[in-house]
This record gives sequence, C-alpha cells and structure tokens, in this order.
Amino acid sequence: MTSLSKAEKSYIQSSLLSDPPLRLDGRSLEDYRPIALETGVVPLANGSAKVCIGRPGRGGYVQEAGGVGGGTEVVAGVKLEVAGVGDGEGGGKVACTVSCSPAAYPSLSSNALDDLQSDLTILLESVLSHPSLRPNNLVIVPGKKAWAVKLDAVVFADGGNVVDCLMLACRAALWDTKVPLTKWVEYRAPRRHAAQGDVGMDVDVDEEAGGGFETKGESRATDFELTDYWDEGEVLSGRESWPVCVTLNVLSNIHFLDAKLQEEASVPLRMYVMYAFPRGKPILQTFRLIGPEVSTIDQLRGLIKRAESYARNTWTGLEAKLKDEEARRGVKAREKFYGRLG
Amino acid sequence: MAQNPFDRRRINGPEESFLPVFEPGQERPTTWNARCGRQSTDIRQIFLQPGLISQANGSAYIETEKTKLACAVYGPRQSKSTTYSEKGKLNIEVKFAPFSCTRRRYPLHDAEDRSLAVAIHQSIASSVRLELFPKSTIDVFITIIENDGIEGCVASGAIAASTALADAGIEMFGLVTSCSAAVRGDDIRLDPTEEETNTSDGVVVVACMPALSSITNVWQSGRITAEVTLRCMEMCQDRCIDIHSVIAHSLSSMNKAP
Amino acid sequence: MSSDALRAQIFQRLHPHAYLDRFLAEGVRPDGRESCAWRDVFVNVGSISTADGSALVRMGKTIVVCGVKAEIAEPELDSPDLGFIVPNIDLPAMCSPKFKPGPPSEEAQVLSERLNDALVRSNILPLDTLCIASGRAAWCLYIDTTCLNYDGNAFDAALVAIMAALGNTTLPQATFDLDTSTTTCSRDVHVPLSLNKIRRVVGLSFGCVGGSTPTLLADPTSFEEPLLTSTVSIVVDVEGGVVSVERGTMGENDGGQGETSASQDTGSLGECILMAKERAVVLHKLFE
Repeated sequence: MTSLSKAEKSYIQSSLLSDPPLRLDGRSLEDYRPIALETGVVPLANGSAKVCIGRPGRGGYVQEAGGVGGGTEVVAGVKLEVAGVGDGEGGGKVACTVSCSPAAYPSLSSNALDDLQSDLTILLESVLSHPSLRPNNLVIVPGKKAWAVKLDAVVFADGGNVVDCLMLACRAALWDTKVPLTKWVEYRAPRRHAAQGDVGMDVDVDEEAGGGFETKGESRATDFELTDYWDEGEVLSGRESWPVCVTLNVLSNIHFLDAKLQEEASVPLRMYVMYAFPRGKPILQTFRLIGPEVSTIDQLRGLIKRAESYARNTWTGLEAKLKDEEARRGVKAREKFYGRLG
Repeated sequence: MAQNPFDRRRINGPEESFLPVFEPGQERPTTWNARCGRQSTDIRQIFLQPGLISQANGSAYIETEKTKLACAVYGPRQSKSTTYSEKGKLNIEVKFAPFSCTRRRYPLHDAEDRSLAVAIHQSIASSVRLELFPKSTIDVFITIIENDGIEGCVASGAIAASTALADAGIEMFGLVTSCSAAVRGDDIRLDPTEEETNTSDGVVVVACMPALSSITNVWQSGRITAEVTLRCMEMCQDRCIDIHSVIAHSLSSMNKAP
Repeated sequence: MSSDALRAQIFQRLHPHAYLDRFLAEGVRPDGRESCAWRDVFVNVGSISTADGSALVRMGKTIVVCGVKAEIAEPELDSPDLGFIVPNIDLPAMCSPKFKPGPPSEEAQVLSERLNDALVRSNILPLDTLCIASGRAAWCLYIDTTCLNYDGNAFDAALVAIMAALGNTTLPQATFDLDTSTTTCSRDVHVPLSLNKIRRVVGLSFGCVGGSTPTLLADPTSFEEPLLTSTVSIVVDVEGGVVSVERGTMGENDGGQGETSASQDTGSLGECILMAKERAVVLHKLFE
C-alpha cells in the first residue's frame, strides 16, 4: 500500500538478505509483533472481537525511525439475522463485509480503497463461507427460516499483515458468537439441532412430519419465539474448523512472518496460508499466491510445510486466549447477572 | 429471485422475476458421480482460436465443453492516469454475459467479476514484460459466454488471456497455462465441471509457465490436507504442459494461415 | 508487413474519408465488396446450455451472441394476461476500441431501443402466449445480446441472432397452483415458444457517403460507419412486407452539405427498399 522509493526498497531487501538477517524493528524472521485480543467488544453483536498486532491506536501511516510505527487493528462483529431459506440454500452462509477506515489508508484514493475493501471481502468470504465450514445449527424452522450470519470487519489501522489480523479477529468473533435458543410455537420442546447430529437428515424428517399433520399447520410452523435467556445461546457448531492465516513474505530464498507495511512493499511474493487444526489434524483451508514474482513447486512444497508449524503456533495461542476470554467474560456475566438479582 | 435495479439506460422488465421452480422428483445429482468417458486425470478437450476479434490488437476464444469465453487485448495504449509509472499496467476486466449462468446475471459489475479478474491477473501478470511499457496500459477484456464452474473460468480465462497477449505481439517471458482440480476425500479430479466442484471438499487452480517450470498462481480453497493440495498442484502442472502445446499449436497454425 | 501496406494503413488512419473515396471511385469498397453487396451471414443455434435459447451470428467479422433466459414474474395490473420480453444489447469494451467499460453507451441504448421496437412492431411473439395464469404468473423472457466483435451493422446481426434464439427457445411446461400460489415447472416437458413465424423480421441497413462520389453502401462496416452522412434501416418480414423504415442523418458533416446529401438520399429510398426485400429473402432462409 505504501509507496517506497527504490533506495528504501533495496535497503530493506539487502538487510533482510544479509547474514544474519536484519529487520526494521530488530525482530527475527519468524517473530510476530505482540498480539492483543479481546472478545465481546461490541455489546449489541452476537459475537465480536478486537485484535491488535503491534502497537495499537496509531495510524498505519506513521513512519518513525526504525519503523516503530503503528500496528494493525481490526474489529470484527457478528450479527445473526432471521432470514428466509430459499433457492436451495440450507442457511449457514456467512456473509462477510470488510470495510477499511480511510484513516488507515490516507494515501489511497477512494476508488483504490473500494478495491481493497472488496478484495479483502472476497478473500474472507471465500474462506469463511466455504460449504465445508458452514455451521449446521443455524436452522430455526427447517425449510423456512434460518439465522443468517453477517460478519463485519473494520480495519482501523493497517501497519502491515492485515490479512492475518483480519482472520484472527473474524475467527475470534465467530468463536464468540452465541446462537439464541429458539423454539417453535406449536411444539413445546425447544429445538437444538446441533445436539442431534446430522441436520441435513433432520430437515427432511421434520418436513415430512409437518406434512403429516395438516397443510395449514405447516405455515404455523414458521412462527418461533426466543426462549427467555436470549443471551445464553449455544455456540456455532464446527467452530473449531475455522482456520487461522499465516502470511509468508518471500524474498528470494528467505521468508519471514508478520511483515510491516514497508516490508510488505519490498517483497515480490506473498502467500496467504490458512490452516485449521480440527482435532489436531492439519487442514489447509485456503492458499493464495500474491505478487508479481513466480514460484516453483519445490519452493511451495517447503513453504506450505513450514507454514503448518507457524499456523499451529498461532492456532494454539489463539485457542488458549479464547478460552481465557470465555472464562473471564463468563465470570463477569455471572457477577452482573447475580448483581442484578441482588 | 433477482432484484431488478431500475436503470434508465436499459430496457427494463418487471420489477421482480423469479427462476422457474421445478417439480420435485429427479433432482440434479448432488453426489460425486463417476465420470463418464473421462479419467479423473483427463481434462476436457480445449478448442482455442486466437484472432477471432478483428477489432482488438489480440484476441482468443476458448471453449472446453461447456465453459466458453472470449478475450480481447487492447494496447499497450496510453495510461489514463496522469501519474508517471515506470512499468506498464495490466488491467483485466471480466464480464459475465447475462445468460452465462443458471441464474440470469444482471448486467452490473459484481464481486464475482472482480474476484475472477484478480485471480486471472495474478496468473498472467508475472509473465508479461511490463517494464517494457512505461506509462502504458494493456487492457485485457474477458467475456464469459457460458460458465461451467468458476474454477474452470479462472483457468480458461488465464489461458485465453495469455494466448490473446501473444496474438497481440506483447512480449512475455512465457505462455501461461492453467488447470483446475477438485478434491473429494483422496479422489482428485482434474478440470472439474460445476457439478463436481459443488460436491467437492475443495478446489485448487494452478497457473504456470511450463517453459520456465515456474508457478505463477495457486488458488486453493476448501477442506484439503497440504499433501493432497501439493499432489493436485503437481498433477495440474503436468497437465499444463499438454495445454501449453495446445496454445503453441493454435498460435502457430494461425500464423501459417494467410 | 510490407512498407506499402503500412503506408496504406497510415493513410487509412489519417485520412479515412479520402481513403474510402478512392476505393469508391474505383467502384469497390475497402473490404472488396461492391457498394450494394452484403456480407455473408452464419447462424449457429443452441450452443449455450445455460440459456433457454441461444444463437451465435457472424456477419462478416461482426459476431454477436444472443441468449434467452426465461423467468417467472407477476403480470402488470393493467394487462393481467401478458408476459414480458426484455431485449437488451451490450456493446462491451471487448468488442471494439470505441467502447469503454462501464454502463451502456449511447450507441448501445439506441440499439436496444431499436431492437425492442422491431420486436414489438413485428409482434413475432404475442405476449399473451407467455401467460401462465391470468393476473398471477407469466413468463418474462430476457433476451440479452452481447457483441463479441464489432465490425459494423450490429443491428442487422443482432436482429438475426434474436430471431434465431427465439426460434430455438423452449420453455418448461408450467402449471400454477392456486392453493399455494406457486408455479411449478415440468423437468421433462419443454415446449417451443408459440412464435408468429409469419411475422418474423430481419433488419437491413444501408449507409450513404457523400464526398466526391456519393454512394449507397449496404451493410456498412465499422470503418465505414463513422464516414456515413446518412443511414437507412429497413425491417422486412417473411412475406416481404416492410415493417419499419428508419432514417438517420449523421452529424459529422457540416450543415449545408448535409442538406443536399439528405435530399439525394430521398430519391434512393425506393431503391433501398427494393434491395432490402431482395436480401430479406436470403436472410429468412437462414431460419428454415
């Protein structure tokens, strides 16, 4: 995003290629900047998270000596909306929107900013909305209504490595999302589809059952109500399958992680490698090549393997942090709840 | 269920219209059926014709069974922007014909057009010697006439674009060829149809320059292990060598013709 | 490329009027045709499986594709028994360096209107045949034409493509269920459109160049089009009946000359109609 002069570019490149490699802020090639994560930052959303990589609160354009400049900051929020199920879509699609604050990209024209937003949106949607990741506990009334997941992410500051940061924030927000419990009006028991395993089967069975009563009864089945404790929902099913992203910045035969803006602008090739580790098994969920340089199959083979271990580190760190957050907010919520009672 | 955006510049139909709903019964198969007449490593036959669009500097029409698209190259021509650029700009625009998909596409730009353009740009940008065209733009316009899976369009689009660039006489490091693969479990199928990609766990599109044995683009999504992804990439790369000879043949036979 | 050919090309670019004049003085056009000769037309129908009907037409180097997509809509309140046809033509940036990406150019808008007009006037497809259930559901046919290569006279080519695509279109048999207010279509039974074949029309366009040798040109190319002083477009049906005649005067030449050339054309209108009727017989054979 930033434009660098040829001299700056070659300065950064030659220090990266020297032995030992030198980076602008003294990190080693495989180090991340400190990452801060907080969930539940948007009170009205069903799930939300804020992630900062590097020092937060500074615009991405700050260029200080030694590249101490600003970090990357992304807030993601999930809203669940009731939507009709039609056109063969069984629900569970995650609609993503990424918006970039103009303050984070002061040098971009509004057209370029739109392009950037739509590129990030497309990338995110192709990852998170993939049929293999659709949560299956979003059905409210089978064949009629389902929760539509709207994921909005806002980039407040870009100090480099925005894709990793986005993916962390989105994954945390989705992890944090609680699906409100609903029940049909004419059935007494609340429906919990996740607990019943395969929903594809479930839908068929329910529809047939509906048809078995009477034709008019089917339309009444569209009514549903929320159970009393709306904030005590269940988590999205399959939430352990959402991937994390590791961006590899490749310069001739070295690669490094978590590039700052200037570093990003001086590498010819980047790779977005998104891994998930459901039940510990590594799954490559998305792989993209970005940049004007070419690669070879041998290079890719090596890098995809290396990325797996980086991704596993990020993954483990994120899982631990999310569990912490869940515990912390659980305590807070309980205190609040009892406080209100008392 | 398409919203008709009222546009004075077009002839507008009713406010709302819906896709026909078919009676239940023989639904389209949604299973990973056995392929008929084609091995899983076979690709569909490619019909490639450069120079179809006489108005353009270079062009190509490509057809692989149901995927049909046309590509035209205009340029290098003067960049519109006033800022000096040392390297030429490669501008790619993809457009779906309204009748190219199962659902009618409204003739407005949407996100899919751009995501295809971005993917095809990544595939061919590194093959073009843009440093030879300062202050210039090379426009590559692609119209998809019939769509049989987005991955197929990305692959065919890159092949057509590279052929059209060669037809326009623009200097390149090598011809770019591209191939896609769909994966279900351990089963890998090259050049999948739309039906196959819809029922697959994930897809991989690879673009490469076989003459330099370098890879220009990898576009993978879905639930696949790294090992299988790499296997797909190798298989696609092998197949790309065959496609390379198809392009070379079509270009040389066109030059022989008067 | 020999240097003579290059010189001719430069001359063509710099002095298109003089270039064309010199050809016409010899009684021949730059592409080798005589002034009133038409380009060959090829039609290929039904090659696009995602459309309900389609046709590809080549007229010389001009290539257009037409695809028909059928959707279901509620009829208008004041005409409960009529369906819809929505013809549009797109001249994308791909087909010629004249066109820019973005919304339809003026040229495309005018063409769409003219095509719509030809379809409505000819009444080739009576709209009441598209009705499924009165006041509740009717077919809406989106007839979209895309130009792949623009080498002039897109109107004639597009009209042939539309007629061929309509002839190729089949609709699934649809039934409207009053209880559920839904339309269901049969998967197996597809019926062709009830076309009013006798009213099928083709377009035949002429252009007139002024200059030292005023000449009438049939089926102008994209090189000739900007040099024309006036145009005549005639729509002719199967029986040789003239459905419409449209005349345009191009604004490029200065006023006085335009007046004279326009009056010259008036004399030749009868000639145009005769030639158009003759040619229409050939074009109509393409649909059989």
